[in-house]
Amino acid sequence: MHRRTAAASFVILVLSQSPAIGETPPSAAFTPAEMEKILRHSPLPPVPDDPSNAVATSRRAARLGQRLFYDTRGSASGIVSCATCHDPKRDWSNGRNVGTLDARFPRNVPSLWNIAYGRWFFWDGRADSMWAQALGPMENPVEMNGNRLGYARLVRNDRRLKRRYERVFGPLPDLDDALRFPRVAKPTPPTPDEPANLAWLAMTKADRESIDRVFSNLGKAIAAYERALISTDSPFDRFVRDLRAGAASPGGLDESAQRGLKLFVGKGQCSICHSGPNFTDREFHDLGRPSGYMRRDPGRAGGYRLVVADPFNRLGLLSDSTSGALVRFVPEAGGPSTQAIGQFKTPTLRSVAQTAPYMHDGRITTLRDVAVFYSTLGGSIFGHRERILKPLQLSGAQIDDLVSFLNTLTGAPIRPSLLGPPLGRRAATRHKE
Amino acid sequence: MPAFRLVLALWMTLGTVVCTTARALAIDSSASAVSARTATTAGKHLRVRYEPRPDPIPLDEPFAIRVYVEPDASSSTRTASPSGRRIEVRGWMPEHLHGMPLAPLVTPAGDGVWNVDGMLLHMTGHWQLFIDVMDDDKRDRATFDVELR
Repeated sequence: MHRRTAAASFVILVLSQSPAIGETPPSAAFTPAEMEKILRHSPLPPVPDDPSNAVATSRRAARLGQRLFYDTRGSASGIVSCATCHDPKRDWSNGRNVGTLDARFPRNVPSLWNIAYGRWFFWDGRADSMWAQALGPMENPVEMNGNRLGYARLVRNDRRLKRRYERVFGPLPDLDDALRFPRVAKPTPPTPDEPANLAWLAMTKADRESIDRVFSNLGKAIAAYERALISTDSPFDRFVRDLRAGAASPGGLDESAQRGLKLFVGKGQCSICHSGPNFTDREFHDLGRPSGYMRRDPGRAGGYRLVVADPFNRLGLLSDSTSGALVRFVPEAGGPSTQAIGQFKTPTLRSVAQTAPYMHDGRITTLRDVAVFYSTLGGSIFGHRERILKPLQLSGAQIDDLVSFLNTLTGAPIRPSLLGPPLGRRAATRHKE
Repeated sequence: MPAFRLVLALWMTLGTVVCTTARALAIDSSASAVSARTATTAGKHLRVRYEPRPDPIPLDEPFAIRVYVEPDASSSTRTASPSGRRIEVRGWMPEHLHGMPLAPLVTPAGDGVWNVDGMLLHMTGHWQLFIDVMDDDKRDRATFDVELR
């Protein structure tokens, strides 16, 4: 009798968990194929390793990087920092169409949410590590327009910064000899006659290497900080958690958002490119968006050339490991490099509702307009538009549903202490009080 | 009575384990289903086989393959591998009209064997792997279908 009761309890237990076996989805709205796709989008896994950055997980490096991220002193104007464009109050973007119209190819400022899951960086993938990405705007003439000698000297001359740097990376070079280490120097290959470039070339190879080492270390510290900028634990994540637990009424998504999710993994085919837990395949595609600015942006085709030539790439002397360096497989002229014309990186959709405007050129203002674009695919084509892109011909209600779903991808707030320069020990104590 | 409770607890534990495993199996979606990894080239003279590492082929993660080329058993032309033989490997999505984002590196391992690094199938869907065998100017292609889910 007891045995029969125990066996019956087992059967009841199995039946009570039957949705988990995959035969009957907890929500009748999703087919098993849709369920399989949905479950792949959550949870977000731990932040992947970056072998090229030996201090990627160092807390001291992250605090130094946080300090540098908000420091304007290295810029030519003295008023621009990383946070000027990657504004924590604007979900690490700047709310404008593009960073600057002065750029050769004006592009939208990508949010930094979940940047640590990336494989390539910038819209065109011209950097292959977070730290190499961080170095680009620091010297870019239309961004911070600083110079690597200036950054090295900034750290050297700030007693606290110097101490913090040397705790992580060891001694800084002595920069006192003005003949060896000019005030302003950086390589500017496109404009070889620029005084900063001439000053850079006048330095000895050994001195240039020691400055490059310092400069790359600053990028590595900033990258260590940026690894903490994680968008997760969104309503969608709660929904998937409930689905996995076999909840009869999973929370997090209302009916409209659930219909939007069904479109996302089904008819909309959004999840083909916006795949995986970070809602991106980390690679590049051409939507055939009409060119909105004066020049036609080559996108990934230009990024291929730049990442190979970048002395800070993961195969370079300043990379802490060449393990996993995909830049060695970047195609040369022809083949994939030809198909790459007009391709841009698939952005993450996590917290996408907070990072308007959209697309690489920032020319779509709202998420609803993005859905309308995919519904109609209006405009002339530049490059090789993805063949599978067809006008979705969504109804107004379907567009609303898709937007409702995208709104559920906003992550939980991160630690407030990450949203500005780190507080000193005394200030932090006062803050707690 | 305690014995009954013990049996009940054991059954419940076992049940939970079975359910959890079943759920894991149901949720785990192995990335690839490969229809065949051996094919005869279009010219019918060569048999080409590949082994992916890791196996199955992962979605949107780099992987490598080892390629074996040998005369096809049914071919009337039985020649040893020419010393200058090369191979080229390419991935292609016919429905998308684009290929892999990377250019794989091919390294000869001798005796009709090549190692190919830098493969990346970044999207779900139907892929074709083209393995071209080149003897001097002659190119002979083996085509493989890969479905990535």
